[in-house]
Amino acid sequence: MSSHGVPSRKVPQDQEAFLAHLRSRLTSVEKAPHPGRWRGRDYDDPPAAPPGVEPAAGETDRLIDRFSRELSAVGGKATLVSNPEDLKIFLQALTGSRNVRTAVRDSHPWWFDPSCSLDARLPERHARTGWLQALEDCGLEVVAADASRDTVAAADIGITWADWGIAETGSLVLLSGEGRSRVASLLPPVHVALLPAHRIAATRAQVFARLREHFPPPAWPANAVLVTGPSRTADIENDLSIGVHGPAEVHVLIVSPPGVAEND
Amino acid sequence: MTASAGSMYERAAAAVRDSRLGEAVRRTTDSLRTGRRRAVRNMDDFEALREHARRIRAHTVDHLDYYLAQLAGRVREAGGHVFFARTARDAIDYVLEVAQRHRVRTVVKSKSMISEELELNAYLAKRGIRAVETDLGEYIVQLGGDRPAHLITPALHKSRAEIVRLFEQEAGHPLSPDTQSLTAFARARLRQEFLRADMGITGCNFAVAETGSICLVTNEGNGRMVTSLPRVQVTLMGMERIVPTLDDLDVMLELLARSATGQKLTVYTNLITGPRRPGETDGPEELHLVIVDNGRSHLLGSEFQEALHCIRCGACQNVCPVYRHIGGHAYGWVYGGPIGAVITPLLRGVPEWGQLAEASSLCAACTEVCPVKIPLHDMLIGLRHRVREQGRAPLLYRALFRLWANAVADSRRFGLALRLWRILQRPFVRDNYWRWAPPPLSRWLAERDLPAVAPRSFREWWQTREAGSPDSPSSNRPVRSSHATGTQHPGAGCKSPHGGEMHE
Repeated sequence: MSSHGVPSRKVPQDQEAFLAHLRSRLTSVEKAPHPGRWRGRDYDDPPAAPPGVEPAAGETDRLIDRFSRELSAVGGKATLVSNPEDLKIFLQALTGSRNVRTAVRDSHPWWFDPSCSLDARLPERHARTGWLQALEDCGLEVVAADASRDTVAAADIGITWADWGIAETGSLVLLSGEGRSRVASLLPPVHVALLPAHRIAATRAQVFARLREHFPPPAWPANAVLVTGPSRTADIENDLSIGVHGPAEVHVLIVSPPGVAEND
Repeated sequence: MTASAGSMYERAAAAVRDSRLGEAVRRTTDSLRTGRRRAVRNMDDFEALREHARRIRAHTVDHLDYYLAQLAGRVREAGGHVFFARTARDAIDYVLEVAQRHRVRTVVKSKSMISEELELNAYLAKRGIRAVETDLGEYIVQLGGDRPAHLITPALHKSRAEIVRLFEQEAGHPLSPDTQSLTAFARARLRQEFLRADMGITGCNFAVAETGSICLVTNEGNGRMVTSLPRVQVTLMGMERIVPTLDDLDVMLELLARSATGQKLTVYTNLITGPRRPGETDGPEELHLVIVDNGRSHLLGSEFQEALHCIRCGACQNVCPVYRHIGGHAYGWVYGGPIGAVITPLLRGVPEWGQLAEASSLCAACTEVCPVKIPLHDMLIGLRHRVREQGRAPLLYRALFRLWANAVADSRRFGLALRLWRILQRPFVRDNYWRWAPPPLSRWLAERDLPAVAPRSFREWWQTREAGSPDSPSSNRPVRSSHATGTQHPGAGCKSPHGGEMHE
């Protein structure tokens, strides 16, 4: 164990004394066993479809359906899209009725990789893909989230990919990492998220299980956030108010191109 | 936070007289507990889930040394720093040291009850470091120079008019009093603070030992702001706020938001594991986790250990008839309601704070809603016992209880006591109720009904019945037999509609 050179205090000694004290307080305690996993919970990944076989008909549809219902119950909005043209049309419709000019986007590998798997990496040279072209053509001024913080903070819309969806709560799962951005989904008053349909899991427990499988602890991402609808508060006389610090609008575009195989 | 002036009784009495406060507390707690009831009603197996959560918490706290060591190892592996603080002073000094090393001038904070325990803001201010609360409720409380009054809705005691006045002072110009405008003002004002702050300070809803993650749940998004924008992040964590695995976290998340507000899940459930990685463009460059004892270890190995199972959902506050009448401040320190009445004396000392254990009707509503099944009302009885053991009860109190114990221990003595009482009560009783009494009993009577001891006790009635007396109540008026069973009257304990006029 190293103290990483900071701070000046000898951290491990403090830890040892602290934990020894707890141990001494706990010696006389009869220790309860861990109850194991919660039996009422579905932890298992849905059975992967064998190669060349389409997933059980209707399963993805059921998840899309549940996700959309739960999201709308918390004030978000889900829309099905199947290609970049749909994204362009969506953004034009979203911005057409109001005075917005700028958007910020993350540089998620999925802008460049249609497989939408967690193994996707950013390409060496930024290719011009259909999705990015849609952003160019929608009439907004779109900058990448690694631009200056003031630029990001001033943007009207944040556009990102979501690494997972959770059907039972209508949540998006956003990871940190290569090309991804914490602030693009947070600072602008409107968040538009692209969510591949095959990345909607039934439960949060399933997503945790897959995360653990994919990122065994030292490789664990620095940030994983579950976003469930728009920012809200009821701190003033218990009166609900939307859009305090985070976005007031959350639009999820579920990307469901015909014929995309189950992946991951 | 130091104790408020006066005794709990004085604070409670002042709170009860404040009708606006009472209304505000009831409105918010009503809404929260209705939300909880709805959220829980639709869940299969909710009771089994609570039991499962209780077992996770019991296992975790029993093995706290093991899981904290695992957590610290994981956090360091991820590039974070960990400091174990035995006392409030240790924790504050550490935070100050980190802040000064980075020449921090402005700190943005997301909601942290433990920082209230440590009185961190005041210490930082003394060293010229400005700490800004960013949860809307906490921001209101901070502008008012006040303290949080509830675990989930810290500003529930503030009226709209007060909030408008505080915000207008801050803005320097008039504001529209509707909620959207007030929220928009806070958003704009705090946005500037987020963008220029050098350091973010957070609490910790749960740490996950398996991954070394800090889990923060917020609805507003300030928890994400505080951990995404400033260069340095410091997280303060009560040492018991830990779960072994992600699966255990999943169970706690199933319960926390439902119990707190009735949501299935809070809007932002944020897992932070170490500082930003190479190549990332946001997130803290340096992350410190401060694990704080500050009196908690007194509870380990004691009959009160389960109080450390608390996940701070506030459900016990929302259902507590005492909290609902007096609000959070009357409890005098950081934590109000049943959980506050239990842990405040244990963390701060029974001699000074033991009277908080009296702030309960022992109705057990708190125990019934607790998502991890802490037997709060049993603990309050246990605390009362501890107070008596330490000889803190008034002499008169002790004498009366000794007399009572003596009288009820033996049926002959009890019969004798009843007969004596019947004679004594005669001048004060009319229509089966006490109508007046000399002080100090008069004060007690002013808010309660005291039924008279019935002319005939249950035993006496039973004996006549056994003897086959012709006026045996069981033969001709079974419905009214309750009149013969000692002091039981319908409506005993609440003010009867005809009572009250004769009080002095």
